[in-house]
Amino acid sequence: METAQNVVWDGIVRGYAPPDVLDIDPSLTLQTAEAAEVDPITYEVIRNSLQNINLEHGSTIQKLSISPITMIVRDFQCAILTEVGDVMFLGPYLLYLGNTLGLTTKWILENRSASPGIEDGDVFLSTDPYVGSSHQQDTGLTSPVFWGSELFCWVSNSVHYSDIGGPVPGSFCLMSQDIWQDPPCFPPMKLAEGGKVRADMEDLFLRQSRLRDTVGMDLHAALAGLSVARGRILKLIERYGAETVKAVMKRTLDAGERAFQEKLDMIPDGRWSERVYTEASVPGDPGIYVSQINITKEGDTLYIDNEGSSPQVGSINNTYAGLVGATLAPLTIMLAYDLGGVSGGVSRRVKFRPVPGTITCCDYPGAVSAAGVFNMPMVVATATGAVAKMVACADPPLREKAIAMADAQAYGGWIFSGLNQYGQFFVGMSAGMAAGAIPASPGRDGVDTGGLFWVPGMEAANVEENELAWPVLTLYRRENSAGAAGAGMYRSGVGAEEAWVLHGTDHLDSQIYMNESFVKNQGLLGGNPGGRAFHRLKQQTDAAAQLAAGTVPQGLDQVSGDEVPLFYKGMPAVLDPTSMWTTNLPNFAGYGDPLDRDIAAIQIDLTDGKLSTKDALKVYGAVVNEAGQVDVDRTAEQRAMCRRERLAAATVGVSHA
Amino acid sequence: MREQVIINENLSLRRTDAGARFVCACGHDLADGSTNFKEACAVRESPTADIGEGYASFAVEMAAQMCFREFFCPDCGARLTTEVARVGDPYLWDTAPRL
Repeated sequence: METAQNVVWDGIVRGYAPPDVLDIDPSLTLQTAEAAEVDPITYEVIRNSLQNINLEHGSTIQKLSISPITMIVRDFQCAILTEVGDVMFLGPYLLYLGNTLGLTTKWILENRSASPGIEDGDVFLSTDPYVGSSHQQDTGLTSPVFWGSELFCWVSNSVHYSDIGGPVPGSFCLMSQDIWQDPPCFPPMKLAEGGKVRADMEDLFLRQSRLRDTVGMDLHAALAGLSVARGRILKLIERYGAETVKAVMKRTLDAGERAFQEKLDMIPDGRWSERVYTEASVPGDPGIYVSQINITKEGDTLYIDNEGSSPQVGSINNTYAGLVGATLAPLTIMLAYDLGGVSGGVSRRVKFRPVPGTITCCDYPGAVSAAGVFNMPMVVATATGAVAKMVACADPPLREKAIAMADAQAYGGWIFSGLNQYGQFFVGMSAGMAAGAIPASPGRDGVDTGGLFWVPGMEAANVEENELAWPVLTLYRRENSAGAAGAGMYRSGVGAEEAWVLHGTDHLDSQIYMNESFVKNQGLLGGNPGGRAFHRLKQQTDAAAQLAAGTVPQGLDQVSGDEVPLFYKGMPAVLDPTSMWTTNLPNFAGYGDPLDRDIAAIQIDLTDGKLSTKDALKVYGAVVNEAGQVDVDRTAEQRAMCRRERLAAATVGVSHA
Repeated sequence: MREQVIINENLSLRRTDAGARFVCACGHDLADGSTNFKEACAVRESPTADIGEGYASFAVEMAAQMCFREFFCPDCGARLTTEVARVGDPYLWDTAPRL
């Protein structure tokens, strides 16, 4: 296998990994001068203004877009970048997209500054995951902001578009063996010149889509976000001067780097790893594959590698941009939580040493369109495990910032298509993960349906919003119990389950459903793994008859009919008026030995109805009396017996090295 | 210079006269600090479906290739760490802090 030292990371043969000093055509002049002094008040005014400009960029996209995945779930990201493409401010959206915007912008500086040139009013569009996106659907727009004749900075966004073409609705091409079976892959091209959208380029992009109108509206929402951000930055420069604003940008990045280094000082040197298994490189493939991320800390720098990952295969690949974004997301949450989205300083202290040709860092022409709902969450989860183990070894109070693994592969939940109740073709993406569950940490339980931590701004759609947009009727949406899944000394927050029947149509196709063959979510330092994400379907049910009689079924086991065996990455499942189906977002990972869980915490879960008496005994070794109270003495005896039983059932001294 | 690294409530890496050692909270000296402490643990390996309700799936053949490993202190039975792994794969050497 080749090493990082003898490959060209050019964004063509392999993913783009920018050099420390970019090769930019001399015809492009960068604004680099900065004021020597900025008074503290002016500094804070400008810093907060820039942060708010980026937030306004995001809220503009959210307000003007029309697809639920952008408008409600907020599957997008926006950023302000320096003149050389270092990400300065990230929005509170999909974190792993943040650094991809920096990669794309740096590639444009190196590869587009000579031809066709980079000029005021330009907007570049890219769907190329080898340049800098997680998959083609996360299409990036990036636009230079000029002050006079000099390039001052960039504004950029990446939005998940509902369908950008390719063989299947939604563009997640599970059958792809290479990128030519994926949706189109456009390297950065000028969507706008001189402030005007080029009709030919817009048509080239939209012509690929089954949902031209929807994608077109979302594209213009993204353009509007850029326009708002650009205009606000120019007003800030008008008021304070380019050199003063630039000084604030540079010093904010420097401060972010120092704050990150201070946290690294609290972590011992060493190496931490995580391994997550996945299955089915394409539908029907019985193979099992490995995603592995390793972090080596040496002094004030983290070195990231993916040694141990399986060779790239089928449609389960991630590009270098995906690897970088997926790793920086948990690092940002656990070690840069106090930086308000300033991620560029963090990036300076994180060096990547990727092994190419792997499912976590594939080479062209590996297929990657399915990464958004499969491999990106998997690599985020893998990186989360490694980061969490490292942070758990930190000095207090930093170690309490470790967060166990969230979802490994269930992001997106359920993707489906057909004719809606208005007779129009649509592609729906029910973000089953949006309700989320914050996993456990050292020192505290997670948060029940607390969202997905690596998409801080994500929200779950209301049931009524889904029913308005899609031809479905929600039978129930409820939290899971706090049983074995995600148990630990500190338990994960619980996930949720939702059930549906058709309403207003007689046929839909489920393109993507998350029915994991086995649990993937690793527990943290003694905790139970998270649950298995599952999606169940029954046909020929009496759900409609029960509804007509005034009863709302409250479980798949409460209706008659035949359960259809669904397999991970199975073929599209047909839904008809007799169908009832459920999707379950599992609890995520727990932390520490469940037998060490505090009795009072167990009692609270019992009292709240989140934990059964049976699971209290089986999972936590807690004996509950007839009054529903945990018996402290008998629990101590029970736990001692459990520890003896563990050792009696265990093997000692069997090496697996 | 660090005297110890707390890994979780039951496991730490401590500086001793014999060098860095992984030590359980019960006092059991587990392993040399430069090794994978899992190798010194009592290990229980079970099907993932046995973890609890909801872990079983239709894909029984694929799930049969996976297992749930629990690593216990061989002296007191405290669960120090866990991993879901493919049956036969080596224990992941995942925690190697240095003092």
